[in-house]
Amino acid sequence: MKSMVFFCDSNCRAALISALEHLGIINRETATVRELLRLSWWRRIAKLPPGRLLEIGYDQRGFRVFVLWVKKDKELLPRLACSFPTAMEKEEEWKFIDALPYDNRWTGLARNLSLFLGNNFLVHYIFLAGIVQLDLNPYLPANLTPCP
Amino acid sequence: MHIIYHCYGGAHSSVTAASIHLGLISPQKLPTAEEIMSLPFYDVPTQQEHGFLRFLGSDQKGNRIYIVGRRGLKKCFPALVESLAGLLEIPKEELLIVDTVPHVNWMMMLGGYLSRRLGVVSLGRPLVIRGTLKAYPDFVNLVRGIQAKTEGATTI
Repeated sequence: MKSMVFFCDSNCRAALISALEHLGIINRETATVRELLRLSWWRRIAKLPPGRLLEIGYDQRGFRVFVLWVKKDKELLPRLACSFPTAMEKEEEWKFIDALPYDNRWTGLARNLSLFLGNNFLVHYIFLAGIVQLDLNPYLPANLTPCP
Repeated sequence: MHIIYHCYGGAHSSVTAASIHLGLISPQKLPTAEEIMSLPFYDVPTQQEHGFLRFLGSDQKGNRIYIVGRRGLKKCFPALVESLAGLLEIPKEELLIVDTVPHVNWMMMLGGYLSRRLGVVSLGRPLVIRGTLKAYPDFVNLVRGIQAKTEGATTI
């Protein structure tokens, strides 16, 4: 089974946006923050604990698309994903894609605010405002190799 | 079963517990410093190697033993492993995820930090070995508990 996992350390926001963009459901370049706020996925994302996978759908190449988030040390996820099937002697084709490889000023602000305010609507809004402005072209899945 | 011993860096406590489990060191007597140092991956992994799951061997009952340094993923690590195992169609019941950090003492922490993080091996390594020897009975108890847990489980 082929799988593609979008992950982030921003309460799954960036991972969900990237996954939906990959599936062609949204277009980051034209989507507004208000449109993103109306996505019905946010309720499910709010209940998703860190470390758990949530299946979003299938892409055109037959990959099952998942989202995943952790609070910190997200750089460990591709390493774990790479070594896991080998160590377990199982064959699996999966790709792990960092959906928030860098912060811009808005995601940085939201991250700092969330430390004091928690994950309220304001933080959510600012995060999304930052995420739609990210230029992720250098990080597109097609450019990624499955293992470092 | 798949038994995964995990700690912060995958260099000391998880290695020690996994080695006891595999019988690489005797649980009956305290090992020497040389025996501890000869354990696979003991005081070896660097920061760049954190997160890689390593298969250490199979125990007498056929359980597969792994170690991993999971850094700050402490709370979500079991969920993460279960999720990945789910994709590989490994049932939850076949996994045992064991955190070895609660048995780590201050000497292991300080020694490990000096040796692995700061690279002051000459100072950190003797300290972490001393700490490991001091915590050794705790690791033995931990492993015995795990072995007792796997008694009735199916093997692969």
